[in-house]
Amino acid sequence: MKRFGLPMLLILPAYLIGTGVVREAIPLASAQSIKRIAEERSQRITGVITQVDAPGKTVTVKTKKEEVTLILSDTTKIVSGKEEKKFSDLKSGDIVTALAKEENGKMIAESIRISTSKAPSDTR
Amino acid sequence: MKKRFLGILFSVIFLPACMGNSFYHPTFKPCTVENNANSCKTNSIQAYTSPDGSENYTLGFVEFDDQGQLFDRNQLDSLTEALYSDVNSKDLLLIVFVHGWRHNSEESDENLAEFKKILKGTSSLETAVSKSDNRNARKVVGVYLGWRGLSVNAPGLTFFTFWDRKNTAHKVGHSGVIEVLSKLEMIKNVRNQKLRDPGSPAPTQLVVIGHSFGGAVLYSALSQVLMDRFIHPDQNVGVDGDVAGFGDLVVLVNPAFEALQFSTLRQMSNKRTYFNTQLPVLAVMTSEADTATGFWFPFGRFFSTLPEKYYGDEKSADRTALGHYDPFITHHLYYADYDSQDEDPEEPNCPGGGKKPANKKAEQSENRQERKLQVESSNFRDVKEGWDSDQLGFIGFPGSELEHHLDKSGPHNPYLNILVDKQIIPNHDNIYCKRVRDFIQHLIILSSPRPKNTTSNGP
Repeated sequence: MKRFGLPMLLILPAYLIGTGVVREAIPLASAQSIKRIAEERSQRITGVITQVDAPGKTVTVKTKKEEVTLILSDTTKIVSGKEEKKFSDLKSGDIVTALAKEENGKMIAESIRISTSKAPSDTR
Repeated sequence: MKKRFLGILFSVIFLPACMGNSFYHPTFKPCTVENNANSCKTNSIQAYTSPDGSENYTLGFVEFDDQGQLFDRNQLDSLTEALYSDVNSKDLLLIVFVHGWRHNSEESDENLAEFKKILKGTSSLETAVSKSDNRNARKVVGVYLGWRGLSVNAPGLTFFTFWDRKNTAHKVGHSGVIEVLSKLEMIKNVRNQKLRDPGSPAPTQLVVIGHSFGGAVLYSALSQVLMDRFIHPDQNVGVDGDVAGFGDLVVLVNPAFEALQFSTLRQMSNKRTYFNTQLPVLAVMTSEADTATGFWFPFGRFFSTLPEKYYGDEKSADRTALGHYDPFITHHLYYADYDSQDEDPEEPNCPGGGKKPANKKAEQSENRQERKLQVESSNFRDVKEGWDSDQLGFIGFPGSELEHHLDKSGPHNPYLNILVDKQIIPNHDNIYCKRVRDFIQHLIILSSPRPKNTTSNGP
């Protein structure tokens, strides 16, 4: 029996990797940690502004997937091209890209960039 | 007496400064670089490896003389032979670099040192993306095309070589470079069409990068190829499919050639719309602070084009470098802060550099290399999503934001002419700060052909 011990020790890992048992487990772990990293990071939200609430200092942005309400603070940086802008410059219909972090279920905007393009071309 | 004095003065000042027409890598045997890079400095094939896997690429050299001819055909043959041997068993990520004005292929050249950083960074990003995509990482191979971009090596005098080197750049582009590029593309095609499963992800990829007059070398070599592949007269793909470029992507950084040369391709490309599966095929990046192409180029062109006759806006386009010609600028790359989880650039010579790493706590508690791979993979997903939603015109890169001026070119137009913030590229030569490397590396991986069944097909 001992005679087969060493070869088995070498063959078994090779078999597991070859058949995908180990190979499948590694990416799964990586995918989970990537998801966790993504949750900790600022999220990029790109879309069209559908609503601006001046008293509440929020803007609602319609992205490809959903509508997201962004809460702006005094530190939120708003720019268009190289120009700094104010909250009052944001208006419905603007295409924007924002970086925001989720805090207690709310999206707090860190920065908002307003598109400088005049009108989007026809999309096919 | 006066003539003799001027002759001696000329010899004393100019001759020592004159750089020869040198062949820097005449040893064609492959060499593995371990601790001492100088041990391989004359070898034309150098393999870089590190035990932790952070540095894993091969670098090959092909050198041209001042007439645009190969110094030694055996140098090219030994490289292609090694690459054919590689593609028998694995996929490659082939990155070709053509250096610019005031550079050459000497081992101490700054362009060469920075190209190695791009290869190292791309190798790391490829490892991260392949891991999250559950596929094998491709082997990164760099090919450095050397020519006599540095003809005089004396401060203050190099400037006067601008127009002479521009002529040489076009000569090199029209001569031997197209042969080398075509042979590399053939290796890619042989691998992808004959040696691998056509449905499997991440095929062998070819990306070509040119800086400064290296951009002029490449555009001289490839402009007709790009136009032909846009029209694609032998099939209907010019209308019904995605546009092909040369290889998978051509990147020109601070290129020194006139906008008029790009005019036909621009007009043609704006006449059609693109499918969501279209990937970038040409990216031109020019710093707004590049005075070589922004001021000196039009200054020189003013005199050299005086006898020309023009129609409409042609005069301005013929005297302005492509990246500074406003009607043709389709994108703007803005400076942005890195996410707190990204590695902060510690580069004293770069804008925003010299800071301490922001995420020290995380580095202490987790495996740094593993975390780096995960952050890179997450960054790449943002870039890919941005390109896939190009109708909105924004793509977030690590440390920068790309805005597409959709009024100047439609969504997914594969020809990008990008004006770059001076905080990202501060001048003509310093094109390798981390933000630029990150941008180019992500663009390279973005342009990897995707398997047909995983992409949205059609508009």
